Amino acid sequence: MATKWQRFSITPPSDFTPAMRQALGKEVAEFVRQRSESGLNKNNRPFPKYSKAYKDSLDFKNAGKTSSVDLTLSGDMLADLDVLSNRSDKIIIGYDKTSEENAKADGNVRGTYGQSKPIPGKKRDFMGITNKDLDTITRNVRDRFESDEPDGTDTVAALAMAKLLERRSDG
Amino acid sequence: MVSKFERDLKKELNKIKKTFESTIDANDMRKLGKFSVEMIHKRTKLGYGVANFYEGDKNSINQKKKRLKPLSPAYVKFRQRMKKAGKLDSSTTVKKSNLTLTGQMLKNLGISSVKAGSVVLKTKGRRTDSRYTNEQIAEFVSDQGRPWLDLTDLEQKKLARYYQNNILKPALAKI
Repeated sequence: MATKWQRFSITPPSDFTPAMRQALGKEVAEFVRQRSESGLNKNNRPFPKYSKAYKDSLDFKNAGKTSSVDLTLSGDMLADLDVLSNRSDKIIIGYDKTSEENAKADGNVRGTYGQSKPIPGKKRDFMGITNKDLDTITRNVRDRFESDEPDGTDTVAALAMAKLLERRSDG
Repeated sequence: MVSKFERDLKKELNKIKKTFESTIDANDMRKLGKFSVEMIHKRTKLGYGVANFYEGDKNSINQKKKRLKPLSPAYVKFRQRMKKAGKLDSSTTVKKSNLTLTGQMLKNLGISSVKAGSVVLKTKGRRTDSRYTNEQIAEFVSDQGRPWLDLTDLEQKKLARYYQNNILKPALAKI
């Protein structure tokens, strides 16, 4: 079966500005990352355990993994989750359709892991958020913007990285 | 005439600059360096190097991870002999291309120098199995078509996230 495009949408409050919608989308993506790393799916239920074959694999050992299910081998799949669009009626969070990370996410969400059919009991659907969690994040974003102190850490982090990654040709 | 928008923007940028300068000292750079080493080490052990990909127009370069070139049949035979002699590192197999034979090069990747705003990563030390240094081996494998000592775009994203969650947010919380 072909890989499906992994994305989900949330509905922002109608009075949110584009900057607020972008902040909301980013915060939801970060929430999904942290929740997945802590071993919970989109409904805050624990992920199925890793198989013995996977735990015995060289990759598992080389990635320094433990039995805790955190959807992280290299960490690239969760890192690539991002805001795809932020229209006034809908914010879409997900992956670039053709990326390797989308294929990995699809394997987890449907439980296929490179096979043509899902492996029973191995679905680890992390793409989504409960209404309660979304309400909490939405409230936080609103409070931050209304207190006139938008969290600029994204911008500062980007600046810091740009500075850090200035490469010198002489090594 | 300078508009209100420009004045506000300048004010905001100054605030960001100040925050940036006050938070990213040598100690923080060391943490970022250590985290980068861990990412490079893990990616390479999993069998991936770094490659440039051009997307859309030729000016847009993306750095992505790419499977390391497979090992040559002659080198696989050499590794078989190493395995028989008990000298092949346990984090690889005879055929696995993950820049690991004895494990010395990756084990010796670390921080070479650090100061406010910059950190340099390097493979250090001499080999126990040859007259070369780990740095020379690192250069050799890259020249042989297996570039690895760099950060992919996603690793830069992970580094930014690490900085944001582990350095910047705690620093801002103190202000």
